[in-house]
Amino acid sequence: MLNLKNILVPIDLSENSVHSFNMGCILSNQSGGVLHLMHVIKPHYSSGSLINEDNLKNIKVHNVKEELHKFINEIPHPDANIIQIIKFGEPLKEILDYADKNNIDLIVVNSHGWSGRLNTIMGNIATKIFKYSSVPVICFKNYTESALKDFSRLHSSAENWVG
Amino acid sequence: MKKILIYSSDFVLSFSFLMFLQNRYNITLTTDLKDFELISKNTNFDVILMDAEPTKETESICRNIQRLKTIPVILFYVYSSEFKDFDKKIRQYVRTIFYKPFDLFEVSNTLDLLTV
Repeated sequence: MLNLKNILVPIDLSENSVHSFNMGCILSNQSGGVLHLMHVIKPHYSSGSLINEDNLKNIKVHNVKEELHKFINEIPHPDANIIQIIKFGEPLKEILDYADKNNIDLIVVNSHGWSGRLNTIMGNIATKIFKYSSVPVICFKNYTESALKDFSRLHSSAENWVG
Repeated sequence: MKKILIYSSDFVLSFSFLMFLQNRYNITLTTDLKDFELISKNTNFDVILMDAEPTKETESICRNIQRLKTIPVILFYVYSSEFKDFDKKIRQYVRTIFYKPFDLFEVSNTLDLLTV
């Protein structure tokens, strides 16, 4: 059995997040693990504004909850055991902290999500995850039909190797 | 843990590597060649495993890795006589080549030596 009890998929709710979510679902189905679907809301900084910060935070959380709900419902994922996580803070820190504290075995990220492409290095979360993560990371760009076919032989092939 | 970057367009192969090596190394895996190129440039790894035929593009990527970081690269591919010349050229930029099918434990031993 593949030892992937906890798979973390951090998403920015962009179109590209679909690929990593799909990948996470398949891996968690095959390994019988839990998929931790995570979105981090960046903090809003304001100086002496008239906006009530708590209200703003609540609105943001509410909106993200709805978005996550839509996101999950639009993509079929039979049998996947999914936990939804919403965090406030700097995405990189929150993702790595969560991975450390929740026995995450694998992080699946999309190279074109989280602040754009990999080559827009500054501020690119994926790039920083590769650098600082202490758990394995899979970087995905697209979820292709050929990859889908590959998954059907994934479990047996990997097990044959690993034993 | 030492960091290893794995590239293969074959997800099954790269994932199998990940499963085999994950307890001993910190693995990053990608199935996209452009991403691989960018990740290898922008993050420090101790070893790179690259599953790709020895084409001009592969040679250029390996050359750049050596020029920028001198990270040992292990190349995997299915040998055929048409690659004879490229094979010779690319050897100056990679630490070793494993022809498929390869012995996984031999790969593992090589990794042990490179990450001491």
